[in-house]
Amino acid sequence: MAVNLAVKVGTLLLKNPVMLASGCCGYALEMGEFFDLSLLGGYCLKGLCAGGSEGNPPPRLCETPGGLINSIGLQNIGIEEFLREKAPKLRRVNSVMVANFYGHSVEEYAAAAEKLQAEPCIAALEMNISCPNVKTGGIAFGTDPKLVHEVTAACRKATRKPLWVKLTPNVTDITETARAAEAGGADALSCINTYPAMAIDVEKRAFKINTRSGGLSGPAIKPLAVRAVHLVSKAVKIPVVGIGGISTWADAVEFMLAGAAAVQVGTALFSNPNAPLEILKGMEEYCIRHGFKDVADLVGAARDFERPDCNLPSAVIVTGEKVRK
Amino acid sequence: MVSKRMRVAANVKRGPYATLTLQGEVIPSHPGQFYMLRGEWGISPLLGRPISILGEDLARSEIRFLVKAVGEGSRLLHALKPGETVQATGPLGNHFPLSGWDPQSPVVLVGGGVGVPPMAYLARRLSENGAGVIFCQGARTKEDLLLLDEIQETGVTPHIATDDGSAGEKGLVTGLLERELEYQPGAVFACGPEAMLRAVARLCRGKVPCYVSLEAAMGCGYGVCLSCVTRVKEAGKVVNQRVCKEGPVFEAEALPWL
Repeated sequence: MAVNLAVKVGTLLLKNPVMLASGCCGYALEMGEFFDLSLLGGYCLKGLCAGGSEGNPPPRLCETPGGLINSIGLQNIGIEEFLREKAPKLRRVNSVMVANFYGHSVEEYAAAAEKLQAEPCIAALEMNISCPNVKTGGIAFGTDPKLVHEVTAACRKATRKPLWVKLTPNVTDITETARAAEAGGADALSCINTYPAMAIDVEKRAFKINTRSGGLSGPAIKPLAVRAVHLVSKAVKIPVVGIGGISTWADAVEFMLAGAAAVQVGTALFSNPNAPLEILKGMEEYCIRHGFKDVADLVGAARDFERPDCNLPSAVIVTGEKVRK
Repeated sequence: MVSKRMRVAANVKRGPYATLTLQGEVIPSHPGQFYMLRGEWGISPLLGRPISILGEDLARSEIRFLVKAVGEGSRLLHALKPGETVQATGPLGNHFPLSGWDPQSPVVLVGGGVGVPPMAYLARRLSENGAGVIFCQGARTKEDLLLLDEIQETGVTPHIATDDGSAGEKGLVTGLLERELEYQPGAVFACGPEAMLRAVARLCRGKVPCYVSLEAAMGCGYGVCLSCVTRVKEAGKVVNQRVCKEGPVFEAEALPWL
């Protein structure tokens, strides 16, 4: 049985649902040394801003059980150098390139979107309003629904390309920021960025990373991310791209069942650069095993747990979650 | 560079050290390069560990590493058993220069601790190339000396300094280097603790080209995560460079903090 692996994210057609997550694949050229980028559904570039950034001082990373905390601070070469040096090398890659970008004010966000508009090989823009490691920009915009709406609307005006908004889970109710981004004109939502976290070396009595706090990623956050994806997918009409600790095909399938139209693999690339291809192969085999002719049929297909022989109290669903009456 | 699963052919232990031999597709490497190694041990620790290459045998499809059990990851690598598999990504990073100095002059290699294995690999390669090699190894005690047989096998005599004088000279490895510098070597190569690298770099400054291999906490090892950056002089400016990609070998003069 042949499985149709192609998925749609808004108006964009991806040849399969597996993408590389921003911040974990550089400008994609490094990953191209391991495998043919054209085999992927798409890839999201390291977050770019006008003029570039040096990022935070090291140490920038530490491990935690099943995860890692990073505080890179959005080091990047800048939109200008990217367009000049990297983009020409990526033009012949037959895969969906998504340019992740950020600014330090609404005006800077819009100006960045406009600059990226000119490059034909960029299929979509992913607006980063969720990085926990920079003081201005990043998460400062992503936690206030009013600002989310404002910055999304400003970027919407600045570009004709599909606009994805990458959300932070560091809010009381992620569906509020999700709806604000949708109302502001987002075409899709990337859920989620890292969770703010901290680790201390008890022997040295010192914070493990320079900025004290960083962003937690990896398998440790996967169940939190699955929930966020599910809640957001129920709250908005635009597609959701699932991110958060995906390392195996089963993780990717789980995110799609939760409601993700496509998935992004991030931290898993560090320990196994081939993870995306292994995930893709596993997803295809899963579809064959379960009789799915189309991988898109997995999206949101998770059912409620049922035990007919057991007289449990009935439950109601509140904003996508079941709670006891 | 590729990432593939390799089979543990042997893992020979001596105290906290283990000589790990992996078998599989081996891409020719150069001294100074490293691999990211991770056993199939579940999700913690999550990342592979950067381990310098000790040697390779292309005919037997084998590559060798010296692992010291220090933290969680290196303890698990130390405990690997023959037949187990390891996700091995490499060879990664740049390497020590193999030419570029007056071929009549010998070069001095300075190694300390887990900085010794890449220097042993370098000694082998340089000897094969016909270069004169002086190898200086520093350690706390006689028990902490590494790979002496391996180094001698390449035709190079290791000069030794120990803190307690239990082998070789009593004192620091830089004492040995100081004496060698009087004979104007073509270049100095060093790998070891930061304090040792700093002392080596100071002795060489303005006298002889000096290359050091740095250690850093790494996420990916192949240039995408930007965790391992260090400050490096480049075209009159000081910029972030990745220890895993632009390094791990840097010209000492280019490191303003060393």
